[in-house]
This record gives sequence, C-alpha cells and structure tokens, in this order.
Amino acid sequence: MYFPNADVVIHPALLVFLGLIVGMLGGFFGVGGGFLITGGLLVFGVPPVYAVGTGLTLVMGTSIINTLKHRNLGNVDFKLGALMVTGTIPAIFLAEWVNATLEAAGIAGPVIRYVYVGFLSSLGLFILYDYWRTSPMRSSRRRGGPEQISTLALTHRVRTLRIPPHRVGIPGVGGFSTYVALPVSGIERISIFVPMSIGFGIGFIAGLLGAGGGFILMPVLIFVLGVPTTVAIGTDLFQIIITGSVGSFAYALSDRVDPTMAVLMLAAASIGSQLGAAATGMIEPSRIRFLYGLLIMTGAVAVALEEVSQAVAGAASLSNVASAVLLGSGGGMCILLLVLMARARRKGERRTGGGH
Amino acid sequence: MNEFLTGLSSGQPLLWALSVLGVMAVAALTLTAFWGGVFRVAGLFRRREPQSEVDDVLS
Repeated sequence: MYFPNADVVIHPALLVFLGLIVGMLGGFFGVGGGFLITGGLLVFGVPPVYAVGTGLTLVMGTSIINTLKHRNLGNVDFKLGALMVTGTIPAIFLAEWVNATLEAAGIAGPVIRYVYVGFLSSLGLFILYDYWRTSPMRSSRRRGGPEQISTLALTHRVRTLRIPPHRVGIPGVGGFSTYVALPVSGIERISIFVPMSIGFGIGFIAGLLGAGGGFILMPVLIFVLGVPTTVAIGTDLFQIIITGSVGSFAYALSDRVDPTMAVLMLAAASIGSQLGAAATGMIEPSRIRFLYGLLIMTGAVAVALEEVSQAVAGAASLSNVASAVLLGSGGGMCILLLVLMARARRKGERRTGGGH
Repeated sequence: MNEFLTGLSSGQPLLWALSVLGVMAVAALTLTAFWGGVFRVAGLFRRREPQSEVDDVLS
C-alpha cells in the first residue's frame, strides 16, 4: 500500500500488527508507544523524520483512548499532568527545531537512532536492576502494602525540595504558594517547579525522538516522584495526549506526518488498548515494571540493529532482524500479558489498590 | 486522493496540521465510544446467561 505523504510503500498488515501491539502495550504500560511506533516505522523503511512525526500523531490518538480507559479506573492525576504540561509544550517546539536542523545537516536518522538506543538501554537496565534489588523486600511484603522501589530515598528528597520562589503574587488577584498537594499520587506537598521541570525534560526528549515521552515519564514518575505504578500509568497517558498533540501539530506544520498510516494503526491500536488497560488491574505492579524493563531493552536492541544495517556495508539484512526483534518481542509481550491475565482471572486475583 | 493529501500538506500547512489533529481526535473518540458500546452490550448478554452450578449450590 502506498502512503503518499511519507512517499513509501508498506504492507498494511505490518501496520495493523504494529498498531495492535502498540495499543495493548500502551494501555498496559502507560506509554504512548512512541518508541515502538517510531522504531517499527524506521525498520519498515519510513524516512526518519516522517517516522517521528507520524509516531507522535499515533501517540496522540492512542493516548486519548488509553487515558479515557484509565480515568474510569481512577488512575489519572490530572493536576500532576497539567503541571508537567506547562514545561512540556515549549520543549517540544524546541525539539522539533533541533530535529529540522539535524535533518538539514543530513544526520537526523543516525542521531535519532543513537539517542534512542542510549536512552532505551539505560532505562531498561535500571528498571531490571530495580526489580532484582527489591525482590527480597517484595517477597516479605503483605498484599496491598506499599510498593517497594530502590529509590525511596531519592523520591523523598525530590518531594521535599524547596525551590524559590515559594510564593508568587499576581497583581489584582493575590498571592499563591508554589507548593501543592497531589493526593491521587499520594504526595502531600511538592514544589510545582519539580513536575514542570520534569515536563520540560520529557517534552524535549519526546519531541526529539518522536515519542509521547511516556517510556521515560512513567519510570520517572515511579522512581523519582514515587507515584504508585498504576497512577503513573494513567497520569502519563494524560500528559502524552498533550505532548503527542503538540508534537503532531509541529511536525504536521512542517509536512512530516502521514495521517493515513496513523489512522490505520490507530484502528488496530484501539483493540489492543482495551485489553492492556484491563490487565493493569490484574497484574502486580512490580511485575508490570519488570516486563516494562524487558520491553524497552528489546526496543534498544532493535534500533541498534537497524543503525548497524544502515551504517555498515553489506549488513542490510540486519534490518530484517531488527524488525523481527521489535515486532516479535512486542507480540510476545502481548501474548505473555494475555496469559498472565488468564491466570489471574482463574485465580480470582484482584489487586487491592496498592500505593506508597 | 493521494494528490489531494500531498497538495494540502504542502500548500496549506496550518489547515493541514489542524486537520490531522482533528481527524485523529475524532477517530480516537469514535473508537472509544464504539468499544464502550461493545463491552456494554457484551455485559448485558453475560447478565442474561443462565445461573451457573456454583450459583445453584450457594442458593
């Protein structure tokens, strides 16, 4: 099937398959799926900047679907999401300008892939390390007790940061404190500049890599802010709507989006989203984090293989290996989730809403 | 259709960008409503199923 805006021919079944995987994994892990979408489109041969722009467009669509689903489960902290968005929006426009500059210099593809590999592999290794480190604590904790993560000291330090100004005055309106409570996330008091800064950093990376930022934001919310896993999933999906929309708009303005491709994948993603969101209520948070770490590690491997296939003469066949790794691991993860859901259903497990 | 899409994207960038956002948002909301309806109907069918053996034992 020919996609005119990206000027590329791709078999639609591949896009449908990618959409299904993205929808399910997005609903389960709370990510827009951008790293999978952009990585998948890159291995399908879509030009890098179109892969980024179309990825952001699909991310916007899937995150709307997933956020609505998670809102019904009580997993969305809208206040936290709104604070992060104030930093995200300017960062995305900055990232789009950087990407356009890199494209003009002819190095957008390699840079995007190198940054992807670096980020995904670092993040994946940390999440797997955290799972390994906290397993003794997990085996002894009672069901429904607080989640155990290896960065509790860091989360306490971040939550208690005092960043000036501590009060802001608006003429004619009055003054207000720059510290807020975020009860849905279990945070009694935090400086508003913390989520705004997080939003800015995530927004820049998201805009650069063509993702909603969820694959970074979700672990940041858990390991830096100490937000419970399911609330981190729902909240970052909400924030991804904004980053995806702004990013999609910025890239569409530069004619770097193929909406036909995006709508086709969205239709498939909507099916997977239903299953993914439902699975979060049936699987333990620590296991969710472990599976997430595995997933992004395989994403890093796939993008690395694609980069080698482009950079090394005679290694073009590695591109097929890359697509096999990405789609195979994504599909395998979906099957694993279905199996875990079936087992949980048989045992009659329902996680009681655990939190910190 | 291909010419329309490429013509609009290159000739009317602001309209194109807004159209892309609009199409994706409408598609997402429509799909959400569709699946919500499907699950509601499925739930209705499930409630109409005859009582299971377990229910009979308990009653």
